[in-house]
Amino acid sequence: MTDEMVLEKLTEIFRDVFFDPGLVARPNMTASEVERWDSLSHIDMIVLVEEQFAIRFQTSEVNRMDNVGDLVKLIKAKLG
Amino acid sequence: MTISLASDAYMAMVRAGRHQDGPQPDLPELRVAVLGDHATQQLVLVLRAAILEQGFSPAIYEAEYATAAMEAHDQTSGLYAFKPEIAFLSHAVQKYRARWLALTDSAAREALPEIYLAEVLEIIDALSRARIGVIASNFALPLERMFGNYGALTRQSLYGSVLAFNALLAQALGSQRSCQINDVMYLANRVGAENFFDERLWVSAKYLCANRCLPDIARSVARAAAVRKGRVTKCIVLDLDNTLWGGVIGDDGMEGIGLGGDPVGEAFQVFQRYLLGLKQRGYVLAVCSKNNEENAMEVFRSHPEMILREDDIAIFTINWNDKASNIEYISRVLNLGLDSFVFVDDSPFERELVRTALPAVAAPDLPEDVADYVAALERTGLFEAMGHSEADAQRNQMYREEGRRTTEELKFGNIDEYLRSLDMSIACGPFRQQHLPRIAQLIQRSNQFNLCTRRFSEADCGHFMNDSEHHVTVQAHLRDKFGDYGLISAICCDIDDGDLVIRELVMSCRVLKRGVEAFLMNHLFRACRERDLRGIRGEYRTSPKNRMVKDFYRDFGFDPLAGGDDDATGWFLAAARYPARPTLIRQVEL
Repeated sequence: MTDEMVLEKLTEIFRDVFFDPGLVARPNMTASEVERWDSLSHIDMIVLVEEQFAIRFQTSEVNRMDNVGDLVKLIKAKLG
Repeated sequence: MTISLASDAYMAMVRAGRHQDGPQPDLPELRVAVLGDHATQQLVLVLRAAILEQGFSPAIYEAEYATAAMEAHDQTSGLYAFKPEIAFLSHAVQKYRARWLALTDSAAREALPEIYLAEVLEIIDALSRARIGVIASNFALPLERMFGNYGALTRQSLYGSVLAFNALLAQALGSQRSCQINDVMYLANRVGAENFFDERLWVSAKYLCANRCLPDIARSVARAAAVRKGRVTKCIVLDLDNTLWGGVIGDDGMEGIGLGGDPVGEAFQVFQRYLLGLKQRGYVLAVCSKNNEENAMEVFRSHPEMILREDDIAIFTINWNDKASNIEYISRVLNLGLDSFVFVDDSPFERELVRTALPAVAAPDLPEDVADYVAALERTGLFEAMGHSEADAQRNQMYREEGRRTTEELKFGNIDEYLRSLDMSIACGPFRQQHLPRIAQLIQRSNQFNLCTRRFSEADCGHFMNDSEHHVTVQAHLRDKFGDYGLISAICCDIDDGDLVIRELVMSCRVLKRGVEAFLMNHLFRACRERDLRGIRGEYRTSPKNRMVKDFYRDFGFDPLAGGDDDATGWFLAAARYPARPTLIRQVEL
């Protein structure tokens, strides 16, 4: 799966979870840029990502993410 | 039955909860305060959606994280300013675990369930005193047993300690009906503890459980709240072919239908036993089937494997009419509102037809396999109750009699002649201790003949009963030649400034148009004269369902008091100006 494909899926998830139909996931995007990206909606996002990609995050990975690019890397690593 | 563990349902409710911005003007409001010792933001969104599903417009107050005790004990708190009807107390077992782990000696651990319970009850009591209905969660059973199976036997295991707490909470709430339980233990058990808990989410964000399990919790709370607001179901309308037995009686005949004998036939028996249990706990069972009546009745009368018998069914409508018309007929004959009906039919076509024609009737989906019927019906939450009473087991029999009365009524040309033929008698007097559960239940369940809809609890009724210097109470039981109606009316009055003031008057709709209202009014004015009171003051408070008694006071000659509006009107009539009304009901000893 390419970065673009992962980002495309993330865009769909972000729009739903962060309740903003105009959001586009970019590698350098951070939580602070997105109005409704708080610690609780972050959890919803993580769980949806797990289901959509059929992967599972470790506890240490749930909260450690500096930007969306990190998340993409993590997802790709888990997909192998 | 497979239960989807994906978060689709959860996300759908989050979306619905977010979209509900502000009140829904066409729905009655439900004001709920959420007090949790875990993160509650997502739960509140989902709860909003669940309240909408129950047909209410949600107004939710979300207390700050873990502030339940502070909010409840501070009269100036945001909670009380919000004026909730209901407070939902949600406890995370992870919090209990932290308390338990902090204790080092075994005696302190032994005592924790009682100590924790006392803290919870203090909050509940404070809220109850403010007349807020409380829905309190118990705990999901934790995975930590520490002793293996022996953990179930000792409070020195977290698991055993939580088991003890849940049992104590159930005991405490069972005797205090103003508080309902939200049985998280059951909900977690239904999906399995390993699915329910997600420790990662707790340590990351104080998330109570896996988010896909939040809809179950929210729906359970919303359903309990709806029942508190009077949305109880009372009558189950049953299809026959492929619902109570396998196959079609008209085609397969007595020997051909699947009932007992083989595994599928046994599954139908299990389902019938479940329905029998619902009947015993107070449901009225009715049959609505497209069949030849004689063939179908023969199954009830003489099939050796049949669990439900003719006597268990209050009314049969077996004909070729459409089912919506038959259900309306059942509703008329039994005098039960359509919104208290549950329609159980294996055919998606019939369910859809009934949903379209009669939106008030609940027509839950049934799975393909009869072995899954019980789990599917349990999941709907339609059978939620706030308590039970001795009278519940007799209710079906009473409605059977009601059906016969309605049939008899049609034979008489003149209503007085018919009423005289019923040979009615009423036993009435002040509330009695042993009848309090039934009195409170009648107050909770009556929607139409309910003058104030104040929903006094069992404890409230006890208060009225015990202070006879300042209060007058009346409970009335009606009998006629067909049988005993049981307790059919409850009245709570204050004595205030030389007047008898009716604070609540409810009557079962089953006894309308028999002169019971006049009998009760005569009784109240007699009480008035015996105590040398000036007259009776009453109030009519509008609810979505009590239009039927809008003119109750006017019809008895009361004068409206100044200052009323569309929602509430006050009325007064001096005792000297009330002539006793004639009735065809004898008074007998209570």
